[in-house]
Amino acid sequence: MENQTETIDKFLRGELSAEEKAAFETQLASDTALAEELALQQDMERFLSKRAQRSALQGQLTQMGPEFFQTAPLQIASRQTPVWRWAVGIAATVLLLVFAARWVFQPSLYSQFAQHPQLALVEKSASASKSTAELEQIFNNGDYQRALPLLQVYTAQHPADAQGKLYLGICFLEEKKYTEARQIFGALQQDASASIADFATWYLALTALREGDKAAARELLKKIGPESEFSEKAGDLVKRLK
Amino acid sequence: MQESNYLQALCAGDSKLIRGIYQQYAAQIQRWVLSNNGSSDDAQDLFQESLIAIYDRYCGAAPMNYAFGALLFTICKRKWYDQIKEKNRESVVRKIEEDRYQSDHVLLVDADAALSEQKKQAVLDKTFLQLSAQCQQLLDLLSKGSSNEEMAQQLGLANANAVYQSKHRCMSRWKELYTQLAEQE
Repeated sequence: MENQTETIDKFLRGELSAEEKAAFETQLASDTALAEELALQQDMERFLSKRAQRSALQGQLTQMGPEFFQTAPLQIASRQTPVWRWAVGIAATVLLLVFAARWVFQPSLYSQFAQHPQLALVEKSASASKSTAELEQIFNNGDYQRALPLLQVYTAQHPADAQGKLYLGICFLEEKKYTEARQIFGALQQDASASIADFATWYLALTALREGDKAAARELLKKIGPESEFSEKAGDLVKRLK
Repeated sequence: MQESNYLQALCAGDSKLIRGIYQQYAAQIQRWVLSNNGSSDDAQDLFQESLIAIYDRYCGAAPMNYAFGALLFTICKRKWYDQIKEKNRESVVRKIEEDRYQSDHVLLVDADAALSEQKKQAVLDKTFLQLSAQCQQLLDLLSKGSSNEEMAQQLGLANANAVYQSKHRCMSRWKELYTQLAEQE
């Protein structure tokens, strides 16, 4: 798929020679799979160009909606026979048990929102070592205890790699070493790359959430602007924190 | 505000004008949802998702054949029927058939096209978020028009050629993830 991606990319950017272009168009006319792949690649590019704005629009709509939709008042029956009251009592008890069970068995708010991106250090470097590939696998398998010291070594060797630090922060957070996690995410908030700074703010909010400090989590989430790729998740989480 | 301006407002993310869309249609859609076994919260979610479906289909893409309000209402209905179909199959199928009989065919085709575009965008979004942070950042920078040299510097890559290689690896990985998920759904 990789070679095809490159040719399609060149075709879309008008970088194929006249001969290559003619050959590609001939192939396109008879190869449905290639035509589908071209359409998908165009969709992907359109998605990327609209992504930030779409996410901002979702944020705007989430904020605006409650002003225009009112919650309907509950309708309570005025007369209830004793049988009805019994039935209502039993139903309420069942409901209470169902909710209690859901509360006990539902994953915590933190684990619902802490979906970490995949670690990909090999992707970055043409000369990635075997140990880097192992580190990737350990982190991506969720074994944060083992990944932590390896990432400490990695970040010491690559001090300019903000991504590496971000993943180290995630390991600290998963290992409940909140002070260290906060220190790393706090420093990354000042990173020149807006995307890294965004990740850092989101993870600072998750750190506060995991520590049980909902007020601090809310404050941090408010800092995530509508242009951020986390704005929708942040909006959802703020709602759930109420 | 003219109906033709609503689409423009939505595509431009103009808060003041989008508020006009809510003022014009929110109450009508809320009444309809409440009379079809839904709550105000359902109506609010439905309204928002339907606006996003219109954004996905028509902003920077296909021309809109129909009046904004009629299309918005039709998308809301289709979405709501989809949601309650599982619970209340027979009566919903009957309502869909009634609707099909009463509504304009082009309008239904447009509404379905917007909904399927929205589903596609959701799969693209989901699979994009499954990419590594590095890939996400690279593709983000790329869509903002950063040069390969700038990207190499920001991403800690060796040079512009490494950016080029990474980009194709990321796109290929994204395509694989997309194809797998689209087949499942």
